[in-house]
Parts: sequence; structure tokens; C-alpha cells
Amino acid sequence: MSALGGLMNLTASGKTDVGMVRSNNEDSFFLDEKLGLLVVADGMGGHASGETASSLAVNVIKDYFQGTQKKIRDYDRRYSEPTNRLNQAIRLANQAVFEAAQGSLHLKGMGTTIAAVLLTGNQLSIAHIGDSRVYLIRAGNIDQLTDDHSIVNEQVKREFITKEQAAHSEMKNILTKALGIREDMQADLDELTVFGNDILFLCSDGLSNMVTDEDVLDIICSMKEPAAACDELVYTANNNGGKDNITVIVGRIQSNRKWYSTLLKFMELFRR
Amino acid sequence: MKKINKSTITDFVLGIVLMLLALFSFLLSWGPLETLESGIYDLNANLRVQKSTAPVAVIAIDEQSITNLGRWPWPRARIAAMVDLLQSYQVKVIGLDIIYSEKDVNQGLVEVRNLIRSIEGEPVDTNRGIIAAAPSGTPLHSSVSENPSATKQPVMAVPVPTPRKPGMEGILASLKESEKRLDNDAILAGSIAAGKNVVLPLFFVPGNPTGRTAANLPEYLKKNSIPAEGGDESITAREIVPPIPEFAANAMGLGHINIIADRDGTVRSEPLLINFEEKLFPSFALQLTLKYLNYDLQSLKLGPEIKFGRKKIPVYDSNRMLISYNSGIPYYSFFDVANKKVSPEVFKDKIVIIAQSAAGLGAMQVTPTAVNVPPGTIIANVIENIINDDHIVRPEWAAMIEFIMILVFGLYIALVIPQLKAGVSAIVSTILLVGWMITTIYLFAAYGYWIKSLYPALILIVGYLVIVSKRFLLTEKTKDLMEADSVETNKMLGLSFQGQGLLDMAFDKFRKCPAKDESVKELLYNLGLDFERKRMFNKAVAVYQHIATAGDFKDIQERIKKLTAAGETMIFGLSGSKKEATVIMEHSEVKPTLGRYEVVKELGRGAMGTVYLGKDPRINREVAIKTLRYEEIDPEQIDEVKKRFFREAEAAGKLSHPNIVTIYDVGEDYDIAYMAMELLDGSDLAQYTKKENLLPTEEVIRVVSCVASALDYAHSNGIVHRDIKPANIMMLGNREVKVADFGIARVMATSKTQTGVVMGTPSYMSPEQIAGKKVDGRSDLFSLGVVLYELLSGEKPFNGDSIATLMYNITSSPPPSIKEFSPDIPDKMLPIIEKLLVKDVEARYQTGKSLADDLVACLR
Repeated sequence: MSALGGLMNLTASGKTDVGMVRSNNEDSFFLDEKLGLLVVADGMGGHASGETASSLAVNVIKDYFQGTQKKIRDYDRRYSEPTNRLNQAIRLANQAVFEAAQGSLHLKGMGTTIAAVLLTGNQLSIAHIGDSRVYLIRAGNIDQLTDDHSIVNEQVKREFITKEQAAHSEMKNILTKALGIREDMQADLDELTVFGNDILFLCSDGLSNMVTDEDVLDIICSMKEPAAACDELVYTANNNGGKDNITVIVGRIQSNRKWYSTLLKFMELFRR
Repeated sequence: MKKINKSTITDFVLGIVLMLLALFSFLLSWGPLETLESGIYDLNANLRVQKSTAPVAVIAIDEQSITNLGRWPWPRARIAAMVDLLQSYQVKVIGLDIIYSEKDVNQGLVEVRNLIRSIEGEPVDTNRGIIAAAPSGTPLHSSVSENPSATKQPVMAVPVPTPRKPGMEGILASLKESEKRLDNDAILAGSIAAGKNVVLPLFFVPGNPTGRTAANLPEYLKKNSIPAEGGDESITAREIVPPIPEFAANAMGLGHINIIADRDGTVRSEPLLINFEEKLFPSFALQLTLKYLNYDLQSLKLGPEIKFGRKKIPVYDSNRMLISYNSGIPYYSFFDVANKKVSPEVFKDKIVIIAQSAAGLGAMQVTPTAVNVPPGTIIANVIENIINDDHIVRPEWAAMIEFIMILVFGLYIALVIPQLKAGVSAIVSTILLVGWMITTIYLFAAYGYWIKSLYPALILIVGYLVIVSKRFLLTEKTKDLMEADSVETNKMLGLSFQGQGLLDMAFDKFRKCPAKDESVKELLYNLGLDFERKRMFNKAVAVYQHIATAGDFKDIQERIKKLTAAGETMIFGLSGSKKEATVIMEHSEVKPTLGRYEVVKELGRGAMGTVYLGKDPRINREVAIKTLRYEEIDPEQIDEVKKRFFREAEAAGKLSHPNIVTIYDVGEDYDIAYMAMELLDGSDLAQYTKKENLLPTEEVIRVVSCVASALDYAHSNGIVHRDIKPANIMMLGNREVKVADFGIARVMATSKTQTGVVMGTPSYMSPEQIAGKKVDGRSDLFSLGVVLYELLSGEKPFNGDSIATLMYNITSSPPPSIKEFSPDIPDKMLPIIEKLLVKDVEARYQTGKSLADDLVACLR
């Protein structure tokens, strides 16, 4: 049964690249158009445990949604059921990575970022921990939906430094929150109504540090095919330095019922 | 951007639906709910009960009176006597609540009359009393006889004249007196007429009017009624039962004693007016009050309040007055009063009601405050209410308030409750409910305002319960039993760990699941197979044995046997346990092999794995076999490591150079990766890095230039060594120099930092390697520079007590001049060393060849 309920179509493509500097890739990603699930993870830790952390997290989330999952602990009434399921998947991933880290000397201290979206009908559930990002591209505008859990972002928010300074800061890769570091870690959740012709964009910091938001917007808007857009984004990031592992997912949303989505967009105007 | 929650909408809809239901019930006055409302009304009514202060008293014909004065019906003369007595007490008005709708048929009276007639020569009435005597002056009147067996036809007997005897006069006079005494009706009529202050009751049979008009009503009825206006809503009657005309004509007033109870049989109101043939007749109580206050019935003004003089009686619909019951209405037994046991003061200037109260006489009523209330008490209460202006009234604004409150509470449950936490909404709802109830109760008790509190209260209670249960059920649906949940979670996590290669952790998770479950056994079995593949035989056995505790499954028994046996003969021992397992074979006919090579003996243990002496049986050549030692590598990395191992080995296998160790073969056998290479007879350079064992300078130069040319060859074939160090450079017996482990060293990368991949021994790493950047051949040259430095001086150019310091030094500190350690180094060497150890890649030797050339030039 399509999670999208026949209302929206998701066409997505993803790509991951080791970049120009690193010699192994500690990013992982997963996408499933039918489930409406897109996930990006950027791992960290000594002894290549970052790869383990990110792929373990992504796999647990994938297994949760592909399995017969029904259980949700600590249902948060402020959010819809799909968002709660996404949160539960992330919670399980956190448990898995944390326990794996505890169980092995080599893996101790490993962790990963996570950025995930789940599309149900025309409702988008967003969850993230860390500095991997989710963007929404709509009507020629690009909008970052997630709030980086990084020290520099905190500084920017408190207006200690500007965004430009943050981009050049030494501490730019230091996170305030990561998955798998602590036994109990709550992801940031959000919900959004999407419409036809919206584009979702997920990436790890290996891309967002190398390519500006405007350039991302240009590339995605000029490349109709998500796969081509991903290639071009990775290429551009590498061209600009490729200092870290690069992972991108581009997802295009098409509406099945034109008139309905036009009506919804009209209503959305008032809500804004 | 506002988010609209699906569950908010559903709650809202639910709330609105309930509210509409409540409104409908309210507007339609739905029966069962009205009964509940009546219950609340009664409770409130009990709160209003106060001591009565009205000038009313009730004289009850109670059980005591019946017992002592005889069976009911009593002779009307007795009643008349009471009336006279009360007159003597100077009461203001008497309400005689006994309907005398028929004449009194008294057998004794008939016989006395007959006697009189026979004495006077009149015709005798043999038909028992139908004909009354003419002399008494009462008109003939026919009415339904008390005696059912009597017929209706008057009989006129033929007069038989009889002569009067002497002395009959006295008898006649006595008889006439007896007649008078027996004529109860006359006596009572007389008493009624005497005081002009007796009010008598009417009785109506309720029903739809028959359409007649009031043209033929007797005068006394007309007098005691007012015309009905069009649109009058009073209760209608289809038949009237008045007292006999003898009484009615002389009564001060007439009032109806109809008691109309509510649907549930409780008397809460009195119809002040009843409509009979378009004339409105007042109630007994109303009439008594009017007479007491000296008002005329005709002065009554109708409307939402019935007004006369300054009195206003608020009425409910159908001109009913809500009765506010009070206690303490003076109540006396007829017997006691008749025997003058009660002081006259009690009755003076008051309204006195004489009524029946004995069980079986009058119909007892149920009121909100008591059961078994005699009608007389109710009448007294009504009078009391009117006189004291003590009313329960349903104000016009009541309906509107209730309506508004239903809306308010409806919106509250629709919009507010869903947003509140369970505890908070419980408290707030309770406060609202209690507040509303207290307000309505207070208004009722203190002011007599009847506001129907039921509907708003009901919507609040029901709405709250519905919304809360819905929320509870919804979360219950998606939350399963903790036990089942954690089993599922453990299965899932276990599978994820297993997929990731974290087999031990997977085993931990699966162990938490019930082993008797077939699916769990399946999972464990697959895990056991995985352990086998990784040659972790003891762990595989542990898994199978765990399955076995819950019963047999597939071939686990055979596997357990096989694995335990294999552990004894297998050369490579049970992984992860004893590091000092030796190669000794137990049975010489079982020659262990790796690929096509026979394994002869163990040669040693390198950084990578154990090295064995092997023999290629096909060409009878001895080889060295390097194996990849799995227990040194984290299980989750093994696949990755193996992949790289083979890739690098393949690449290195293409190299053919006199100074590079030749790789013959690479393969996998029973999950051991191995590499067969030329057997070297010699040792590495590590021993020559010690100060006391340094090679002569020329020798060093020679060795290093050999390595340089080997590197040059490899680099031009696109292969970087990445781990040039003394341990990887071999010096054979014949002083040949061979560089070993090309590329393979990369596979053994164990330390990684967050900045990138770092591999090999730090001391020999180039700055770019440390920084995690991509490395090329020039990085090897840097490492060679470090080796050169060390071989010449016995000291490393870069040191540090911690890896961080060491790395810092490599990347940022210039090395100390080698002359500090070895003063007799030829000066020609210094720039070479410097150029090798420069941090900037571009400034370094770019090829091994140029280095070799420079080195050779030094020798001259």
C-alpha cells in the first residue's frame, strides 16, 4: 500500500561520494519512493566507526519502515502518526548505534547525524539530529527546513557571529547533538504540507559546506531529473573542494489531482 | 505556517456533534433527559424548604379521627358542626375540601319524613327516599342515587287519608325536629350560608373540550369563572363535577381541586386555572387566597404572570404555578379540633382547610420533598406561596442562558479539551461543572429561579468522557503491550546489527527473544551460520546450543558436533582465543592447504597476520604466505578490509622490479585471505635504525637509492606504498634490498581520526597523510626521507609523547638538523634530507628517480 495514498507521487534519486580529500566515505543514505522515505546520515568516530554508525542508523530506519512496524512508544500527541513513526524509527536507530558503540572498544564514541523525511499523502514529516539538512524548494525559492545542531549555528542564532563567519569557522564541524552518542536523544520533529512541483533536498554537510544554497537551487531547478541533479551537485561540490564526504538526495513531488492541489495551495496562501 | 493536526479536527467534529445533540434534546425536551432534570429539580426543591409563616392551617380528617368518629363518609352535620366551630373561632376563610356532588341519602331521614307524611296524611314514599317531603321547601331534584339498586322512577302513591289521632301533634313536632336534625344537607347548607366565608371545591375531568359553550352554566358557576381569551393555554376539561346547588349557591367561592402531576407522578405545580367550555375556573387555593385578601376573581389579569391587586404570580406554561414546598404548615387532627383540644388562637383570622388525609380516603400525592402528602397540604402550600410571594419561577431568560451554556460547553469540549493535558482538562472540566451546578442551585434555592442545569452539565460530562476516551483508545491502539513491543524491537535491532556485521551484539539481542518461537530460531540459526563463515566457531556453537535449549532445529546437532571436532584439527585454531596456537598438525596425512599451496610451518607473526612457509606443489617452489589475521580486525570491517586487501594485492602483483618483493598469488581459503610471495631470506632494516647498529653511510645511501628506484617504478605504475618504513624494507643475505607490502599496508589501517583516514605508523607518515588528504608517490618519498634520517642518525626526525604532538610535529615543526645527532654526515646529504622532509608537497622530490640520482651523486 503506497504510503502516499495516491495523492502525491515522489520521484527521488540519491548519490554519495567520498569527496576529494577523504579516503573513505562515512556517509550513508537510503530512499524509497513507494514508502515516501528519504534518509541521509553522516557518521563520525575513530577507527572508521563513522561508517558503521551511519550505515547502522540508516539500516535500522529502513528495516523499521520495511518491516511490520506498528509500535510507537511515548506517542507525542502534538504530531501526527506518521511523524511519530519516524521519530520511533530514529529512536531505535539511536538505541542501536549507542549499544553498538558501548559493546566494542573500536566503536566507542561513534555517532552519526541523521536527516530524514517521510511523505504520507500530502503531509511531510521531518526529523533530524545534527547538521545534515533538509531543504524545500518551492516556486523558485529554497528554504532550509532543519535547524543545524552545530556550535556555529548556535552562535549564529545568538548573533555572536554571522553566517559567513560560521562558514569559515574552525569549529564548523562540531555538533551539539548527534545520534548514538547518548542513550536518550530526541530528534527535532516538524510537519509540513506539500504540494505538486515541490522539491525536497537532503544533504550532508559535505555538500552544504561546499555549495551555496543559491547554487543548489540553480542546479536543481535546471536539472529536471533528480539523478542528473544529484550528479551535478556532487560534481560541483568536488569542484569547490570536496573536503568531506558528499551525500545528496533530490526528491520531486508530483500531484495526482491537479485541482485538489491548486485548492490546497490557495488555502495555504491564507495560512501563511 | 500553522499546522492543522488531524486529531484536532476529529476532536473538534466530535465536540460539535455532541453539542448539536444536546441542543436538539434541549429544544425537544426529550423524555428521559427531562426525567433527569426533574430529579435535579427535586433536589433543589428540597433545599428551598423553609418553615412556613403563612396564615394557613390544615385540619385533617386523619386516621385518628376516623377511628374515633366513625367510618367515612361522615354525616354532613358533623362537618357542619366543625364549620360552625371554626366560625366561632373567627377564621377568615374556610376551605372545605370535600366534594359533595350528590345529595345526602339518609335512610333515617326518609323514614322520618314518611312518618310525618303519614301523620299529616300525605302520600307515603315507599320507594326509599327519592321523593323529598314537600314542607321542607326544597325543590324536587333528581340525581344519581347513592344506592345502586334503587330505580329512578318516582312513584306517586295514592293518597290515603287517615284521621289524626289526639297526641299525635307532639309526636309530629318531635318528628319534625328529627327531620331537621337528620337533614344533613340542610344543616351543612345552613352553615355554609351562615358565615359567607366557605369556599367549596370543584372537580374537572381533564380532556379535550366537547365544543359546547358555557350558555347553560348555573349562575354560581358563572360567578366563579372568568372568560377565556383567545389563545388561552390553560388545561382544558371536558366535564365538571360541582357540589350540589344547595351548597354551591351559598358558598363564598368555588375552586377546582384538580391536581396535575408531572410525567413521573410527582406534583410540582398547580394549574391555577382550568378551561371548561371557554371559561377559566380558578384553583381552590387561588380562590381561597383571593377571598382571604378580599380580591374579586374578575379582577384577575392573565399573562406570563397572573396579577391581582399588587400580587403577581409567575406561571409556568398552561397557567401552572410551580409550587415551592415548605414545612411547618400547622396541621391538626379533626378529632382534636372537634374535641376543642386546639386553641382557637391558632385559627383566628386564618385560612383553614378541612381535608381528608387518612389513607384510602383522598389520593395521596408525591411531592419533591415527601411522599404520601395529602392534597390538603399541597393546597396549603400553594396558598402560602401566593401570600408570601414565595415562588419558583422559570424566568424568560432561563432558556437563553441554557442555550448559551450548551454552546459554551460544547465549544469547550470541542476546542479546548483536546489541547489540554489529561490532568489539566479533568480539573478545569470539574471546576466548570461544579461552578455551573452551584450557580444554578444557588439561584434556585435563594431566588427560586429554575434554570435547567441538566443539558449543559450533561454535555460537559459526556463530552469530556468521549473526548478523553477517544484519546485514550487512540494512543492505546498504536501503543502495544511493552512486552511484545520489546521483542519486536530486539528482533529488528538484532537483524540490523547482524547486517552490519556486529554479530556479537546481534546475538545479545536475539537472546532476549523467546527461543521457542520458530521465527526466533530461524534468526539464531542464520546468525550461527554467519559466525561459522567468520570462523568464530566457538560462538557459532554457543548460538546453536542456545537454540537447542528450546528444542531441536534443522541440523544444529550435526553442526555442533562438526564444529567442536573441527576445532581440534583445524590449524588456524579457534579464532579469538589462544594467540599462541601453533601450527603443529595432529595428523600428518591431513595436510592443511591454502589455495594450492601446502602449508609447511609458521614463520612468524607480522603486523598484518601470521606468515607461513608454504610450498607450491606444482612447481615445487617454497613461498611465503601472508595471511590476514581476522582477530586483529574488527568484525564489522572485515569485508571492507578483505576487499581492499585483494585490490591492493592484485595491483602489487603486477609489479616486477628487482627491489620489490614479488607477489605470486593471492586468494581466499576457508575465509582466510592469503598472499603467496617470494620467500625472503633475510630481515628488515629495523635493526639498523638503532644507534649502535647503524650501517655505514654508503650502505645507507645504496639501500635508500634502491628503495627510491623501486618507488619510482611503482609510482609510475600508479601504486603508492603508503607505509614506507624500516620494517617494510628487507635486506637479504646477499645484500639485496627488497621493498615489501606494497599497498597492503593500507589495508591494515587501524587508526582513523575525524579529519580523515590516517594509516600506518605515524612516525613515518607524511604531513598530507596526517591531514587526511589524498596522498601520492611524494608521500612515500617523505617517509623514505624519515627512514634515511633514521638510518643515518639512529634518531627519528619527528617525535612526540603523544600521537597528537607527533602529528603536529610532522605537519608543522621543522626537523632538527641531522648534524646534531650525527656530526659526520657529509654535507652533501643535508639538502637531500631537507628536500625529502619538506612539508610542502610541491617543494619535495617529485620522483624517486631524481632522489636516486641525487643520492648516487653523493657517493662520488
